[in-house]
Amino acid sequence: MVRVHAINSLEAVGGEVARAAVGKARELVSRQDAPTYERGYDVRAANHLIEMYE
Amino acid sequence: MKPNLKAIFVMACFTALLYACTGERSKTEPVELPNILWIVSEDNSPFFGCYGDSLATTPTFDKLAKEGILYENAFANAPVCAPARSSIIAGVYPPSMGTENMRSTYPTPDVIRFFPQYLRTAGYYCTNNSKEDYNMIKPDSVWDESSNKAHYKNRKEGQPFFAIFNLTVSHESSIHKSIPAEALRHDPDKMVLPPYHPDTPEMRHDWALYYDKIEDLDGQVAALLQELEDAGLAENTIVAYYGDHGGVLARSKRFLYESGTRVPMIWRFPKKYEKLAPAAAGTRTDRLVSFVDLAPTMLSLTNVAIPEYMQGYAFTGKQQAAEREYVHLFRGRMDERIDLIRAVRDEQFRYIKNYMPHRIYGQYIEYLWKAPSCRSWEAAYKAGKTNEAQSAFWQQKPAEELYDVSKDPWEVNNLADDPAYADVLVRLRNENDRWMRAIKDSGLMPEGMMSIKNKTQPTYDYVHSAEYNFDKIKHAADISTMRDMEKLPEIISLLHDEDPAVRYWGATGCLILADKAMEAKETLLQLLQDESPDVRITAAEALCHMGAKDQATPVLVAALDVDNEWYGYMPSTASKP
Repeated sequence: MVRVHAINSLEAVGGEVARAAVGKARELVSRQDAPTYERGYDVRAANHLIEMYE
Repeated sequence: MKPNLKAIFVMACFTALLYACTGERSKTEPVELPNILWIVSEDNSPFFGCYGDSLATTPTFDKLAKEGILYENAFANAPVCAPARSSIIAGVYPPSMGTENMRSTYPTPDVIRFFPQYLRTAGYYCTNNSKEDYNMIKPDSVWDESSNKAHYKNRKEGQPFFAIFNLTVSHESSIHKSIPAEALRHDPDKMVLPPYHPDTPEMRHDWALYYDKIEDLDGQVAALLQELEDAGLAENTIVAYYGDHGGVLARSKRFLYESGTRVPMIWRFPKKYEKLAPAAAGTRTDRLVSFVDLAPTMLSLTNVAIPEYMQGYAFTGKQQAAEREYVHLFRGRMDERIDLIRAVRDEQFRYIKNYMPHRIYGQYIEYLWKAPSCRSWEAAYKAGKTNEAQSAFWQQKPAEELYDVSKDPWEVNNLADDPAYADVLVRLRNENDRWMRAIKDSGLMPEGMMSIKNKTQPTYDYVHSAEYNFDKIKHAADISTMRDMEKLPEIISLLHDEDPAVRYWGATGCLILADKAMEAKETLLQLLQDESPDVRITAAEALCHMGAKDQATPVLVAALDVDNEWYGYMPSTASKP
């Protein structure tokens, strides 16, 4: 769960660091159905980061 | 003085070997096997009249307790569904198998069989209606039927049955949607709130709604018992009821307190099988039992030898073990938020070791936040309307917690720093250490790192091999998570270790000490290039507290691209925790 770990860290730091990841979080959400990506928790975490920092 | 558990365990293993240890029936004597009706409810603490709850309306449970044995000290090893069910189905602690994190699908090691497989070998008709959620890949042939139509009535004539009915009416989702106050059957104004919950209208509403759901649950259990009676099977069937973990308002389910792990458990033995019962009907027992004990107990009741790999102890039946002195509890990742906590409970105290004290309890979790009561608690805290006990959920955790649950059942008075309890603290800390070592706790590896190991072998096999540096990793985790500045030089030395799990804990130690660990900055900058993503991420987060955001931010952002096809993932259709 590397992506979940990263998003947890980004949100814990917050501010401009978290805002810098919004674009990448959007990419993550958009490819959620790709078969090699875990679906669910990384997307949930990414959605929250987007909601909080876009 | 209680018997030596280790000696008892050795004797049990010896007995198991005598039984040939392959799940075959004991051939010591022919017996008629009892039917077992196993009723499970979701997400509820013991909010029943028979547990002394004056707000409860639970006539069926109260009657069942009078006819059976009520366990006062029954515990889910995990405070959430999938890891809790993983411990039940395997009889092995999930941190020993890599199945402690909420929803993952890692391989099951060859040595472990799901306990219904043993029952089927013994001749049972095994049905599951219907939730599985074992947190690992299910082997073939676990059930004769597993669906929402599964039922013991489909067995062959004369065949004994083991039948699970999992009732979902009290699941967390039941409080996600508020209903009009006039539609509630329990009065919000009469609710007695735990001291950690602020007194908000939403909190009172959700508590009242949840008591309604418990009442509904009681009715559903009544129907199952009546069905058994009508089928003429009550006198041949042991009824085993328990809740799958505590719940359900915030700081219960998912959290390693009494509210998240202490569960209702009542077993009823018909007269025909009263010799298998641990006590007479109507007994209330304070014996400590936990979910990892359920599989060996089922085997004990059905005359199947308990395999050596199982880590629980039978608490009734012919292979009943001595009483436990402790139960062991754990919390890993909860949905999309990572955490790592271990706990030990004896008859009076609960010890908690927080391996991620820098993460608050109240990390946002999408599913938890669906409850209006949870959102109202967060809003009250942000508005400065919460007292100390109510605010603690939203602040960094202590490294250790200790509660006297006999005096403080809601666990708001942390005694870990009280010199009067120093002996208790050390005793329970040592017991936690002993247990983690005994089961080869895999949770000390970040989940991403553990998943990479899973490429070649199940986690259980890896952590039980010489390759797993448990003692070294455990020591690193211990010194890094105590917020002890005197340990900083040793923590920094961990950053150079060849084992990535050790480097991870070194970086975590620096993160916990934040700007007080500036001495580690140069080494942490080097770790931004580490081969392990988890080490890179942790080093980067630590550096954000050391004036190095410019270097750290690209590393954190790039980690969102890391592809982990080997990592367990939650099926998109199984979103209900």
